Amino acid sequence: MNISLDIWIWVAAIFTLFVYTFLYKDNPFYKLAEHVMVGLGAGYYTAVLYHNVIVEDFLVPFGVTLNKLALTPAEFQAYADTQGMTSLPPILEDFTPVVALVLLLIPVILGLLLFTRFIPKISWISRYSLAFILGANSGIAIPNALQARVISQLRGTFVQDHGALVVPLFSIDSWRDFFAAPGISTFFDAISGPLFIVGTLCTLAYFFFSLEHKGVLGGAARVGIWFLMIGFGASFGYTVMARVSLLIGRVHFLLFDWLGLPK
Amino acid sequence: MASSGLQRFLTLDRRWIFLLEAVVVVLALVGPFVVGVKITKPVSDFHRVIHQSDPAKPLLVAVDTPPAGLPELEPMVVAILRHAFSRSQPVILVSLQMEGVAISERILNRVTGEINDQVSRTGRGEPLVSGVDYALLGFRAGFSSVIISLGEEIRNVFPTDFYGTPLDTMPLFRNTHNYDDMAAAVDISWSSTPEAWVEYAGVTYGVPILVGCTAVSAPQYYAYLQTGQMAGLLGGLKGAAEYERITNNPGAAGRGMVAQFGVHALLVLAIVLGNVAFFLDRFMSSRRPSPSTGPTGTDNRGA
Repeated sequence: MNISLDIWIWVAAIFTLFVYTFLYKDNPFYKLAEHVMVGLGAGYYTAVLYHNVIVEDFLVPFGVTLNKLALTPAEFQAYADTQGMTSLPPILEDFTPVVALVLLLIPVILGLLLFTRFIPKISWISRYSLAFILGANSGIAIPNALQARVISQLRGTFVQDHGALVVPLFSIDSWRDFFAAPGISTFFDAISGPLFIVGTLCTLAYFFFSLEHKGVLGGAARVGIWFLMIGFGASFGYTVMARVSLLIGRVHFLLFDWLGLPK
Repeated sequence: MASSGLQRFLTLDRRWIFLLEAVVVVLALVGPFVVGVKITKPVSDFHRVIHQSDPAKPLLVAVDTPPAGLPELEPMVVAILRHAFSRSQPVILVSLQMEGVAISERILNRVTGEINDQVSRTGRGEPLVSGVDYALLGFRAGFSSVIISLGEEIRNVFPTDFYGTPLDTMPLFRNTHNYDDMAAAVDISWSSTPEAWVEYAGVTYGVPILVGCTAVSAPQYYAYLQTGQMAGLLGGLKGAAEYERITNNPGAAGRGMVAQFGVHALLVLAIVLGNVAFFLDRFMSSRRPSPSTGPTGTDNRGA
């Protein structure tokens, strides 16, 4: 056993134990750990966002552009060399300094307008920023989401790509393979495609509420429930694995990194 | 007597289960146990895409996880980095989730430190150098815009690396501008960012998307695997253990699988025993005369 002498390992270990005391019952140690975590999280997020968004995405390029505007090319180069800067992001290099300044200021102004939400009399102004955000995001997201989540998934219900080869999910060849060499692997290869199609259709039938669930539709919906339940079971199994992994991670840390047990 | 024992079992304080789980995990981790890990197709596909890629082209690895995802995702990042470095393939690390940058820096320093230590000890191979063999670019907010911009020009999003060194001064980026110059995009994520990678990088630019995710998220990504929109998937600690095995890099995930096995066996046992006790109790209750009925079996509650 070789107990760690690193103070931060000790801090992490003690806070891990504080959090796990909640499993016995709520107590001041758990509360302390909880509050420290919330405070640290808020501080970390603020620092990272300030540095990465306000400084790097606005203040630095804005300062560079202002200097580019005010100085001669030789003076600017000397300034850039002393500041350790080489250039603006390439996307701004294609524009004149004045246009680059305007391009940098537009998102800042739109961002600031969002704060008018706090002043009821002029809160309507924030809608311009929201309109821009919604419009831009929808324009970017809708075509790609439609392709990735609808069209490709719909295609995947009928065929499967094996490199350049496109194989239908209901493939006679896979059944021929199964009868040629009966076995669990070939059986599942043969049955998985049809099962996939039946599962998709029956699950969709369960969520089809425009007709009463009786007759063929009712039967398909009941089969769909089975597929859903199996899906939920698989998800639950994965969830258990994920939660147990968190415990394993912490116990691993306590045993090997903190207490220094031999691995 | 038997009934009161059953009642005690059915109302067992759950803290006993927590304690048992902890005991099983500790024993599994310190004991000399080993469990076999079978390589599944999503993991072998993941490995094949990297292994068959041009080693001159860098691998883009996005580490998008907070500390809570580390037990499952850290072994994946470690195994992927070791695999890439073992075939002299450069790695570019980015983070689209703000906690990811500190995490990726720590893991990168650890892996490169281990490899460089080994090089200096054995004198075999070349030490890994920042800007040549790897680059840590850091975090940028707005993940969908970042993913799209990376497909146009990486310098638009990351003019410098995490430490402020301009990309133009790094040999790694001499011929690296966008996804065309990269072997694959790997997203190690605990949130929904893999879907964004499929939608914006996969659909728009056609770069192979490889995903490592927590076990909770894994089931929802099988649909993308089936359609080929994701070229490979590492799901949870099991996926990480499989990747450690396929790359012959034993690590924390493989050891964790013993504990997984132990806790799963305990939970299955608890579920079976709980169900047996429940039905047994119901059966015994149905045979006991109800206190609300009289000796003739007639309901005398209103009497």
